[in-house]
Amino acid sequence: MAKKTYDLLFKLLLIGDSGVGKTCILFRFSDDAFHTTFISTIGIDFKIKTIELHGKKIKLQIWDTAGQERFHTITTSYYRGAMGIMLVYDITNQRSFENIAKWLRYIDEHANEDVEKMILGNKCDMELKRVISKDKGEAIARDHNISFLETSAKANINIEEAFTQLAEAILQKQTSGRAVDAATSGGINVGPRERPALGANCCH
Amino acid sequence: MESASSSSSLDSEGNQHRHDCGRVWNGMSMDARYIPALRRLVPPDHRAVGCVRCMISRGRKRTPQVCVLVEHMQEHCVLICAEEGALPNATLKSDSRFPINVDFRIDIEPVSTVGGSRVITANLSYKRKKLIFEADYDDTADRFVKEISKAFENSKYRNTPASDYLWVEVYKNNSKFFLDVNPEDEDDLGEENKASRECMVKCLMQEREDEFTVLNEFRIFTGTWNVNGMAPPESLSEWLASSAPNEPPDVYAIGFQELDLSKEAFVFADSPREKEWLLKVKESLHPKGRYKEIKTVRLIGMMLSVFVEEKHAPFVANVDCNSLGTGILGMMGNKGGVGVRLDLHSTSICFVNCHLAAHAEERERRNQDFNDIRNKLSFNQMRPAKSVSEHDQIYWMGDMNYRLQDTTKQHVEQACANNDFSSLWERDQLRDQQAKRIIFIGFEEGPLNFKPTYKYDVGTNQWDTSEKARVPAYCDRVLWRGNNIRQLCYKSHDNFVISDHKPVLAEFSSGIRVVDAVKRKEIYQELMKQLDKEENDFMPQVTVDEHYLNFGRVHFYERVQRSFKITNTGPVIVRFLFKEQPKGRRYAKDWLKADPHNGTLKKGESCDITLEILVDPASASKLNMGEEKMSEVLVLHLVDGKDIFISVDMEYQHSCFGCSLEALVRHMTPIGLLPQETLIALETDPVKNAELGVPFETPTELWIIMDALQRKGLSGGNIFGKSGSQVEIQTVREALDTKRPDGQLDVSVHAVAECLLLFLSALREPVIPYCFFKKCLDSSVTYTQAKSVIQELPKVHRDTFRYLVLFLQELLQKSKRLEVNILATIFSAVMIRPPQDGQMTPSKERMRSVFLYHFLVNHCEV
Repeated sequence: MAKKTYDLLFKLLLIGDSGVGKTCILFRFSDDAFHTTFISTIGIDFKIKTIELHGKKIKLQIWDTAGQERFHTITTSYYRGAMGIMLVYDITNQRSFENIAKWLRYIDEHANEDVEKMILGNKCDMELKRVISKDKGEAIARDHNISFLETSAKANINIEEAFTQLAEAILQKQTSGRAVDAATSGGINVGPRERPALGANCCH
Repeated sequence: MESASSSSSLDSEGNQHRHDCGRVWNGMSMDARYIPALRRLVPPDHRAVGCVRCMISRGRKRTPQVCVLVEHMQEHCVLICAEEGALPNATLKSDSRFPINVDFRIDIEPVSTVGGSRVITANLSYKRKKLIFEADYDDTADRFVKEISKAFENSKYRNTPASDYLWVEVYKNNSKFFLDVNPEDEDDLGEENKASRECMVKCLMQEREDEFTVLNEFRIFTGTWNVNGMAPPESLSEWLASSAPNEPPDVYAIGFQELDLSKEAFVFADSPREKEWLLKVKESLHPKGRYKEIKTVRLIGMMLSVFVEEKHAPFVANVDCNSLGTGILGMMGNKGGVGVRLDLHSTSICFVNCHLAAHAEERERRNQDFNDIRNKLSFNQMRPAKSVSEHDQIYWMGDMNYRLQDTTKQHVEQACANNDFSSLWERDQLRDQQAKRIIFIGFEEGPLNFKPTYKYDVGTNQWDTSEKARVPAYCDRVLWRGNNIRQLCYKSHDNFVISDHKPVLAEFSSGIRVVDAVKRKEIYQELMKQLDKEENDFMPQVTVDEHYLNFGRVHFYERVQRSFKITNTGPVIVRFLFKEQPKGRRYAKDWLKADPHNGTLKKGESCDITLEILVDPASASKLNMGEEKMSEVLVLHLVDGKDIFISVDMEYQHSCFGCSLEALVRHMTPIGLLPQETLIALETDPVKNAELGVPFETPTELWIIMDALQRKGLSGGNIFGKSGSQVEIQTVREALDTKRPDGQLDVSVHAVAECLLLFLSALREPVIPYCFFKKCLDSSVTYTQAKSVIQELPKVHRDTFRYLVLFLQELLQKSKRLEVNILATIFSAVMIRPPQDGQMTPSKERMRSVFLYHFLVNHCEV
């Protein structure tokens, strides 16, 4: 019996180097909170959040992955099935930016072909420690034809926008391409169910 | 009767009751089949008063349930329960509770007959929680509903202040707030629960409706007039525009009866009178308002028109109408009712205009007509179809034809002259029947402070002067049902003389729930957030005390264990397991094992997981060669939740166990003392990277083992009959890997014998190389064939084979207890191993054993 509160279910994935703030981004989005203590994600965690886009209730299931190098072989096995991937780097960390190419390669190798991608330059509140200019971020995104946002989980900048944009892109792709089909998209269309008229067929 | 027990006591009637479980009153309102279940459900200080099986409808959902009435200290509560299991062993679980206090309402509908069976229906509500109860009508159901009704009535007359009904809490299964409103959820975890958000959101939104709706006062004008088939007069303004000059009504509902008495009206749907009257009505509405006709419905002489102020029109939705004839043959439309329903903002409104059976003595017929309309008039374009009673507000008008009884025309005239209308009300049939709860249950009517509206001599204000000289009556009435309705005015107009009836009007100030869209969205989003949070919070959670386990240096065949603790720190039971690695690989490399490998943890429970490393012969050579990483990441998966990575590191000490014969015969330095790169180079190209120009015939390590066995004596019985201890085996391995022992190994003969087998089975390439495996089995039939295979082997393999066969022959001679076929089986298993993808079968095992057997029983000629 389909009686979910959402019309569609989108599975999203957060990837990027360790310490760039993937968990904080997710935490800001799902719980609207921020913790300053850094606890490295050792595993795969997920949270859900329901949003509304164009009158459709969309349930986002967002997977947060461990960024550490040693886990790459395992974390990449979670790429398949993701409908959207957010690649996060840290604007105060040169290395995390350089690794974008590597992460994009992982996506190419392991994710579904039609996955929606997005690059996020996180920690944009830390202007003094910035080493990657916004232009550089935009340029690399443009080169790969991927949308881009600078974000700050701490200052709550562009977090909501990032998820909305990504969900929007997935929705666009689904509605413009094939008809939204529960089986192929993972989305579930919900119609109201009817109750028989009272007393019309009393089933005792 | 219960059997006696220590906690039994006798009540005043001498009946025994057990006090360790609920008291159940086996009275007339109790379905006795549920008594055992009630005993388990109801705590000792409560009392189950009644119980019936029923259908419960909540919103769009209709489910079979069991309804229970419980009592505690003279307070009552209705429990709606789910029935689990089959009678008589069924269990009842309460999934919602309706305390019977000021917030409680019950509205019992008269018994109806549905599909041949009689059904009793009641609307129950508690605050904004509403449900419809239906049960097969029998004595039990009847008494059950009456018990609820009685409890409700009694609750109004209680002297003590109402408690907060904390005693009801014991019936809550689960503190999760949504379970309270969700009949289909049990405290089971998993998909079931998550899937029911749809209904949950609806119920929760409904419960919070007050927060995002405001009550706006709307003026609703209702009018009813039996016009006796006449054409309209000049103007109806005096009747329809009689509200205050600057306060035009927001809504008009005007009902007529006997609008058209012509034969044509019976036969044809069209009536010229309809147009005439409708036009006149429109002209006569309040001049300060601009009205839009929402709907007009007519059944022969009965017509009902609904108008709303234009500014409200965008907020009118789901307009529907229908009619029901109750006249001749119970269907003709000379009597009956017409109705219009609509949603104005968030309030559902139903207007009914009726014309009930005439004549003073036809009271029963009128009652019947009324109940037929109430039961059968439904709005079928609605999904689901809506009945009249399913509306927030009902305005019911018409020529009801109820008369004044036990009185005379003179008395009526006298009373009217004295403005003593109340003396007439007592004699009014409608009020009498309503008080007897036969009609208009739950409806209200304002005081009839006007003269009876029937029957006048047409053209006059004089009551019937004909021979019949009928007693005047309040035939024309307006009643209402619903909350937040205040009657502003209820009167008749004497100046209309075209009919034998006078027009009546009733004006109301009604609270219409108007949704604040912004606020509603806010609350909806808040609710979504809350539910998301709940869903996130109710995911399985654990902590592990170690994410990283370093085993340090590990040697061949050395069993090393480390453990970590996993604790369920979440709100739900956790099922965990170690997940398969990508590409369908086992959850860990062969040399690593987790125990337990899956399990279940209750809330707060912990469990130690032991990881064990054992590099056995199968893994040894890959690790020697650095072909397999000495680390592993285990994926600890929580069912319906996250994955946790557990990293394992070790440093494997390469060993002569796991080397190839080619490498072993070409080096002098003990293998353990070689740097790993040197070993890898030696293995990769034994000839080029040899330490020795001329290789040994067989590996030194093998010679040392054989020598030790010879010294310890081969005659002591079955040297393979026992295994050596961990320590002994490590002593032998250490000796072979790090030094050339000059003296005896200080271990048992069994430990050395086991090391021989381990050494042979760990060889990178078995004594009979993998590529000869098939040939070997194929040639196992005769000794001659077997010999020819051995001739083909590379030299070091052939030499080692011969060396082993000679040793085994000597062993057989010296040890009387060893049987040749057993020895053949043991050694063929380590010497003749299938390639990696090869499957072993019992017949293959037999064949390789036979292959070796030939050499053990014949003179060795290879």
